Amino acid sequence: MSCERTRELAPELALGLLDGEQRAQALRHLADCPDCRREVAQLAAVADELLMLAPEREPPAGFESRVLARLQPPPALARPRRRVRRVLAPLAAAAAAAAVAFGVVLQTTSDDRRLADHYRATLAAGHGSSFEAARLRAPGAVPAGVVYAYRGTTSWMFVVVYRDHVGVPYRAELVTKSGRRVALRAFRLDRRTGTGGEAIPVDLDAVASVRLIGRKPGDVLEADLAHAR
Amino acid sequence: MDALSDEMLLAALGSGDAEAAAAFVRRFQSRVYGLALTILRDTGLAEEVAQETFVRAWRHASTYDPRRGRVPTWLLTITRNLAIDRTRVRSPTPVDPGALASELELARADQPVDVPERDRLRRALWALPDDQRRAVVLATYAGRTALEISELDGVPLGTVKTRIRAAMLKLRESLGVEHEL
Repeated sequence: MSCERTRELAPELALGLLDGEQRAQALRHLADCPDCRREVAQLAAVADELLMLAPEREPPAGFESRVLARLQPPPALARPRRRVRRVLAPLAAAAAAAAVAFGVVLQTTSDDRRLADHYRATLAAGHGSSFEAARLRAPGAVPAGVVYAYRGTTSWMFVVVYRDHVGVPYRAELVTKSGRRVALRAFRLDRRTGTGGEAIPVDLDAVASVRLIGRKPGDVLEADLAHAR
Repeated sequence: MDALSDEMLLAALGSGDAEAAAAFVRRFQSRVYGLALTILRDTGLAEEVAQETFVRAWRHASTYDPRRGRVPTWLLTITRNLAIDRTRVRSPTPVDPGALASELELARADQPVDVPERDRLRRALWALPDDQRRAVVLATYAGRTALEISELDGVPLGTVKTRIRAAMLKLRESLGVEHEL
């Protein structure tokens, strides 16, 4: 499909009105055309905002408890944790869990819809107490990716950079609240997927920000973890 | 919990945290229920759809991708799709877009803290020629395709497509800025 034809269909595509072959053709074109992709993304943002115009209304009394009654975690999530605790001494369990957690991160592939499933499983496996997300920004506060910081026996972070930054060999450093810079020497982003993870060698609470530094001067992506909390 | 960003709260919801689930529902319930009621105009059906929205959000929290939109719009898209499915089951004729549009206009009075961007969009929607507004409201809030709108209104398909396109481009202009993501 040509750019011209795609532009014609862009509003309907953004509103979710196209299906079948037209939609497939338009999506195939978008995969290779950043300009048309931007056009559709902008129109999709308009479609999203239109939904936000609907008036807010308080649901009937008891709504919250009726919803919460339906949100029961599957029992499978709890079981392996108990078994691990019983079999291993607490310290060894923590180490094993951290190893599991880390393995999961390093094996993560391009399918970023599965990515979050990984860290959810990781949280369960690693007895994690919390994890945090902070937006990575390029100069000018342009969104460039997301840093997920996981707090556990071994804390670690997982980084996703957006398309424009995929393939750049960033090195990573942490900036602590006292201003100290800690290089993460083993940190690598997958050149194809723009994802990567690394253990955090300092107390997560002491970390103010994460910086990814590219080869070109000024190519620095920064995530403010202190204010994400 | 209430201090967490939307994204973090959703992530916590996905990790099975009961407290996060409660905070998440509290934060978004009036928005989700409000949209469901706007589309369905029936309190019972709107509650069903609103409940189902949260169940889906909880189940799919882990597939949320921040590149594809903010949490509230992600959630409202789920609500919209569920509600539109219900209207299609109930009746092939969508609700009156004029009534829908008035409902959207009413929302302004309800929400004094509305963000300026949203207010601009609302004004731009009202500044559209009637036929363009009708087309875009039917598409957004009733999920009607250009072909369906053309059959419903007895206008040529090409005309409906042109109206939708003209409307969307003007609305985008009203937002004025390139969207963050």
